[in-house]
Amino acid sequence: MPEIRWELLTPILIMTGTALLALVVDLVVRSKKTVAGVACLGTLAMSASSYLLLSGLVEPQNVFGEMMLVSRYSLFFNMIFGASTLLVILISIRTMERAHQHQGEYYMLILLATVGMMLMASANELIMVFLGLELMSLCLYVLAGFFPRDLASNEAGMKYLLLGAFASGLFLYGIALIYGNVGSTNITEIAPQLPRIGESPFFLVGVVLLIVGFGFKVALVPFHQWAPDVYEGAPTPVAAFISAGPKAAGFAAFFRIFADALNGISGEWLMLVAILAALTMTVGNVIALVQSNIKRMLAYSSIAHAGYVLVALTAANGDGVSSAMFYLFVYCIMNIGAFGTVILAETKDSETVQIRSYAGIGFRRPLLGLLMTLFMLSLAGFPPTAGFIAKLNVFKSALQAHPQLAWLIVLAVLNAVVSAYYYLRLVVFMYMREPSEPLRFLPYNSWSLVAVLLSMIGVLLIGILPSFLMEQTSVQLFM
Amino acid sequence: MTTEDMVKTSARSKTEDMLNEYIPILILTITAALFAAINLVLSHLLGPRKSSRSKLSVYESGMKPRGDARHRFSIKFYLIAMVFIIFDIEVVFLYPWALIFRQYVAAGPFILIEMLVFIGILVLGYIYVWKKGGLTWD
Repeated sequence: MPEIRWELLTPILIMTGTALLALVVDLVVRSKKTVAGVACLGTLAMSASSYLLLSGLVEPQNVFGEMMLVSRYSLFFNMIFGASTLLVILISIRTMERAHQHQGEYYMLILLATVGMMLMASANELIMVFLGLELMSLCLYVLAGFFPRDLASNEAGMKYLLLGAFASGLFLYGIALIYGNVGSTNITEIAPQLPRIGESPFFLVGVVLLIVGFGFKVALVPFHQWAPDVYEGAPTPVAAFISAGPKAAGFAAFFRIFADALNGISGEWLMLVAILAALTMTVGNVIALVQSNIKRMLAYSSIAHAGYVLVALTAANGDGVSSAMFYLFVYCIMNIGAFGTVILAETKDSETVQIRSYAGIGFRRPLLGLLMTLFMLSLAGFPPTAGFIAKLNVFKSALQAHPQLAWLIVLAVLNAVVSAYYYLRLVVFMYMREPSEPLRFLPYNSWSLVAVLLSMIGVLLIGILPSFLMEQTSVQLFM
Repeated sequence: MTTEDMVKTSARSKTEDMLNEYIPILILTITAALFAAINLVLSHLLGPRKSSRSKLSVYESGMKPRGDARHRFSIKFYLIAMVFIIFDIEVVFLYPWALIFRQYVAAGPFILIEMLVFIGILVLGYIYVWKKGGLTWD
């Protein structure tokens, strides 16, 4: 029997244990806040153990035969998932208390989805990637449709399930074609065989199907149609969750397969990825310009951000991967922060989702206005926020690796300029317009406020002192 | 011919080999489809058709039919069925485990502990269903 090095698996074991524990705690306690507390502690413990392993690990290690590869890369992604899950749990507490049903299951599903993401990031087998993807997606389908009496939530769940299942099918077919050529589903065994199979049409069709599958999961144009409807219909904390962790997980596996295993034939897919990146950025940003609902606007903005991350993939080297890891960390924090601010802005009757109902918030609720402004500036990529450093890194690494792709970088920078319009439009509404009717806000919910303040500290701290995070993301190609 | 060309040719022939292995399956598929189609067409052409009143009436195990076939079931049937299927499938995993148990238990109790963890998780699910009222009818 192969020796299993349990200590390398502690993050995943902690997360799985916490998910099960949350289920049991939900059965025995009355106050559902306890379940959220257990979930938070488990997530913290997972992040801490990932960090400890990360600081001690030099060489990537195979675990469970060769099913998983624990590396600096996978451990850093664990920390991205830990941070986003923690923030999402905190901003969920109020919403779930109001909903009054299935609170325990909610936290368990979030935790299990996180386990799926961790499996995706540390997978060393295409089958393992698929298992992680399905574990994550199945939880997300349920979460998107979590409020059964809300029609929009129902629609979101159904749409996500149908399109997601279809994408999983394509992805699996891609794996089958690759298996047929390589003779193995092990990711590390693809690269040595590339000279033999690199030009086989079946193999290339498999590679394209993988791109399509990942494209659906991380919402690249033209596979993005589900995203705005799901984000709009899903409960706001769930929308925050879907926009952050799962996207990072999708990219984790995407980069692992493409920048590592398929690096040898990067000539075959580089142009395709560059075009997808250009389309994703441009379409996401242009459609975001005309949105009147803030959740839809954030959905299109998250599509555009996926485009920026994809620019890093065109670099297909260690720098590119590091810059993408940095970008995804920053993106998760600031995007959850923005969604958390939307939750903080809810009124007595409903959530504040129309952009025009943010008119006048800036001076009447100064803290809220300030937080929202900060997240918008970071999403747009203004210094001294983290969004600026993240974009800079990505563009720099892509330009250095492939100077002939300069058009892509120029397009990306132009896109960043376009995006400033709709991010700042919200700020203009908050500070320069008068509200049409009196604002009736609820007092701040303390848990959501804690989460949003944590994100704010993260965004500013990384923006001013990026070197600490950069050290963590520095990986040699693969890791 | 350079080495690279040879590598490519062998790759192509390897792919062809792979496809050739599937030819029997293709033949079998075609045969099955033809068999079904021919039989249907033949019985349609050759079979005698004499319908009578009693022949066209609803057949229900020889009894006189009662009520409508499309009546509504309680949703709880589906819940019970779903819970049954889940636990049923999980139990199937015990069989391969039992087959290799003797061989591996000599190396240590790991294999036993592993199955205990698996069963433990199942029991958690069972308790959950029970506590949430998934097994009560009313």
